[in-house]
Amino acid sequence: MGNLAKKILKHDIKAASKLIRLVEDELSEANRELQELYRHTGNSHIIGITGLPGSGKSTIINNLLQSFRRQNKSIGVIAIDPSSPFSGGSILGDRIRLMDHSMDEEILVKSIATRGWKGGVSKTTIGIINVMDALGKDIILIETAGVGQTEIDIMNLSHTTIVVLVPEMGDYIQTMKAGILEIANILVINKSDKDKQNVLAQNLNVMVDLEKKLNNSKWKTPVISTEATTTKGMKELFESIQKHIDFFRDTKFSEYLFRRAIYEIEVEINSIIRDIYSIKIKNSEAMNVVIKSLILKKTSPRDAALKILKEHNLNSYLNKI
Amino acid sequence: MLERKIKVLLSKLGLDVHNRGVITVSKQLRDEGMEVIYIGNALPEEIINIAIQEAVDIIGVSSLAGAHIQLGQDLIKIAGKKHLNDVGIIIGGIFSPQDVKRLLEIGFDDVFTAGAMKKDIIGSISRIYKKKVKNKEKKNKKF
Amino acid sequence: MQSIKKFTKDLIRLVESGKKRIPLYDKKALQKIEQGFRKWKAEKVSDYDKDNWRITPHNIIGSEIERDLLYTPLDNRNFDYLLDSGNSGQEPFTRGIHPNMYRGRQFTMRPLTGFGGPEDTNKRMKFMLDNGATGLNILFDLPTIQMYDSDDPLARGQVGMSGVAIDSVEDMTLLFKDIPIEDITISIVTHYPSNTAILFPMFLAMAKKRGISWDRLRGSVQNDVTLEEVVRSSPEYIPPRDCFRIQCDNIEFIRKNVPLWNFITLNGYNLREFGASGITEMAIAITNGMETIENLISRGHEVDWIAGRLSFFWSAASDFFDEVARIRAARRLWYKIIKEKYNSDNLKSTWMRCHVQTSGISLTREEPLNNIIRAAFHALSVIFGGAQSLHVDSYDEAYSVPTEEAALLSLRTQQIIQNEIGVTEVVDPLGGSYYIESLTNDIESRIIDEIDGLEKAGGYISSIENGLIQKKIAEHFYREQEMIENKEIKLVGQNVFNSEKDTPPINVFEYPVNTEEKQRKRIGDLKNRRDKKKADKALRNLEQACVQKINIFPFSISCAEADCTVGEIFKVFKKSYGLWSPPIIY
Repeated sequence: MGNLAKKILKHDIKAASKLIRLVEDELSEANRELQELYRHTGNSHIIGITGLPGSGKSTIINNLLQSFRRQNKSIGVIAIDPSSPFSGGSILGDRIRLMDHSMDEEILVKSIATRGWKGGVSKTTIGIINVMDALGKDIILIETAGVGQTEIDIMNLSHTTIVVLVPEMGDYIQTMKAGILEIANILVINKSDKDKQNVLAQNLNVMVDLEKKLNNSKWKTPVISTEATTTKGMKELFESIQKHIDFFRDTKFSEYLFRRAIYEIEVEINSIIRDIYSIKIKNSEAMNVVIKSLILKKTSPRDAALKILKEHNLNSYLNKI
Repeated sequence: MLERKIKVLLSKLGLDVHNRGVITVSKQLRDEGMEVIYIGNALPEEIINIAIQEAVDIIGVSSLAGAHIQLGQDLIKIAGKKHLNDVGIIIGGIFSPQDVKRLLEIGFDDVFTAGAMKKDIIGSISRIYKKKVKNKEKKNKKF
Repeated sequence: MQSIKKFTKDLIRLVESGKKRIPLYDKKALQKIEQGFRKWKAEKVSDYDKDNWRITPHNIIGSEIERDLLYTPLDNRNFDYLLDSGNSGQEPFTRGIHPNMYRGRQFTMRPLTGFGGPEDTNKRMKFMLDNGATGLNILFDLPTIQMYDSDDPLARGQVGMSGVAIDSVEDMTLLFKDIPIEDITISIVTHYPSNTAILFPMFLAMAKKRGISWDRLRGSVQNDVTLEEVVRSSPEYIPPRDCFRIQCDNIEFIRKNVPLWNFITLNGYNLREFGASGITEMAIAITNGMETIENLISRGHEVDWIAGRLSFFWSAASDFFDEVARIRAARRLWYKIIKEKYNSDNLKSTWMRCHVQTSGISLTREEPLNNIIRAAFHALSVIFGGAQSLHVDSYDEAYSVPTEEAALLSLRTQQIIQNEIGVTEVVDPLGGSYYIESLTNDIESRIIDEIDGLEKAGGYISSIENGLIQKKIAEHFYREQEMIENKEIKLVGQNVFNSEKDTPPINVFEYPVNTEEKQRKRIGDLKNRRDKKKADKALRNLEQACVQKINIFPFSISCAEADCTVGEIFKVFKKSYGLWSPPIIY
């Protein structure tokens, strides 16, 4: 068995952190370790939290961590921040909000950058979830910022999805893609003391009722008003999460497993194909020849692609991995 | 093959109030393609614990308030206890020439003083990374 | 229901436009001058200078205001001596708040003191008083400033360094033992509203115990929300709105009960040093001042009740004439605001009293002796600007807390300016300069524009809450660093004209070592000795006052008298108001 995998199954945090770093950097050693760990996963409950920057997600997560710890749960946090499209670098600013827990051995926080993921569930996130799962985390919190396609895809990995809004977003919600509201299992309106007339809460409740009727779903998405800095509404939020955890286990679990398995395979297959391309094909002589043909319009992109793939003996590569 | 990104943990040492320098360096490193985790004010044991969790390559601390020898020593000591031999540790701030020497003796990989230029900090991090971190890595091929 | 809020810029413009102007320069004379100027420019000025007539000077925390090659009466066509300038000590106070300014005044040495435990600093203060100091300036250590006790894990390794450790009223008593606090002025450097509301009550409780009536006490506290919420790095913050309320609570209590005490020093210095232009510095401090006045008016007080004791704290950086002009501009603007916006009839309320410190961030580590020259120029600009008091930074800023030798040099700088070069014999010597008057006008209008922007964005406190201020500052200092690195900002000895010589070794301040142990023991003994019920009750009452949002100052005094510690009191603030996470600014 892989060196790190062995240690991780014995709850070694340093080994888990090291492996997560290898996963992040997409190094081949990571693959072997993950293969070993996979059969030990499936025990964590995964909670995704997203919302626009400034909505106070981190303060909410900070509170939730305290509540989970009181139940003696072990927790992993994956905090995702965007990479600069210009430099490729990033400032990962979620960790600074969770400093209360920096010495708690049972809370493992990983700050990662998007590194140019082009939408679609990323191998990295799944890999990190699996490491934390195998490490023995009861709860895994995934925090992202934003309400776009990338975030929706990441939230699809979670069992419970929480979307955090602020009252000023009233107009934005009307025009926002339905996607983010569809995937939310719990809606939170934070900094709610600014929503004196509860306008946003009312609008969301209407939408949620409609949603439930249309889809005939058994879960009614609660709309919870919080003021995270004074912990107002946090008890209600935590109870909702508990309720959803139970609901999920009873009714949605097998459906999720099926969906997740498909994701994992698709991600791996895509990853392997991408690697084959970038390592064996991209800079090869065959490519140079084909590119020249294309420029001279002697062939079409599709013909060229099929030709290259047929020429390369993919089996031999697959055997080497 | 992906070029591995350098991950840096930046922190204020102790209760020091000045953060202009460390915020400037955070942005400079980001603009240079590095990933920076900035945690604000923290104690040595917190810094080391977080460095382990985040598996960073470099730890950078900032101190403009005079406690750099005491807390700096603590930091290096704890790093040693936790076997962080392949993590570079640098410090920046307001130091006398004697203290700069002292800090290097204590075990910091590099020391920066007021007015340090971007190219010096980045050059130093790259050098330390190549020496300490890359040496411990196996070859990072895909296949 | 409050009346519709009028914006300051509009209000002032309205009042000013109603005034009848008598321009200084005769129309015909101006015509002739203009003709002559055009001819001169065409014939005598080189093509290069014509193309580069306007340039932008670049320096650290500079204003980036463009300057012309030459200034003439044409740049001040509408200048009205009485409306725009006045004599010194006369409205609109552009030339100074007093008729005679520096003649007959001696600068006093008021060095910052504070290190080790209260008994260490007490000894030092006695020494200084014996050697002629007429005032004391007390700096606290980091744990005390950040409101943690000396035995808090966060305080480890930092107790008694760079300031004196104070944990309770007992420490405050030891600090001032046998010191005649009723005969000297004491600047207690409590930067923040929160630590002002913790430490000043301890000082007052100590005075009360000694039988000294509060109306004899003279001195100052800083008490500025800017310092607590904008320019400070800390593990924990309370929300800006609560911090601002405490700032006003402090002012209200102190004004009522300690009548000779200066209850706020509106901060520009630290804000600017952090990374803001001189214009932003003044716009923010003035807006803070206005919101404070309005808060106290809403509590039922008159503008004159507080405006008479408000003062400002500016920085003086390297763009010499800019620094002169902006103090004049701020003086005139503040006069207009207090007179025309708040309708004060008391001229003293319209004075922009200010203390100025020369800029630390403008000094370099390389070739530190160069900093003596820099600081001297900074100081000179302050004298020409007409500030009430001045602190000259020491040349070893970039190394550590100043040594005695460096501190003395700073004082000598001021004394040489005052006694040897004759610049203090004449009031506002640069007044009337075509350049200075033009620049004063320019700066004043830029400050008003920035104030307008702040007001329209919801005001100063809102701009702190949503990160607008922090973002602006962070962008400014990042850009400034880039300008230094690509030499648009020149620093002699650092990025231009470097020599290969090593920096000379400088004597550096030595810190005492066993303060932490002593303080830990002292806190332990205090907690054992005190009446636990009384202390707990005082803390609970304080918590209630916080939650009810009433003036917490008297409750803090009760906590001090019940031997509660600094950290215990701050915990109550954190618990009642909740913690605030400053918006991320990078």
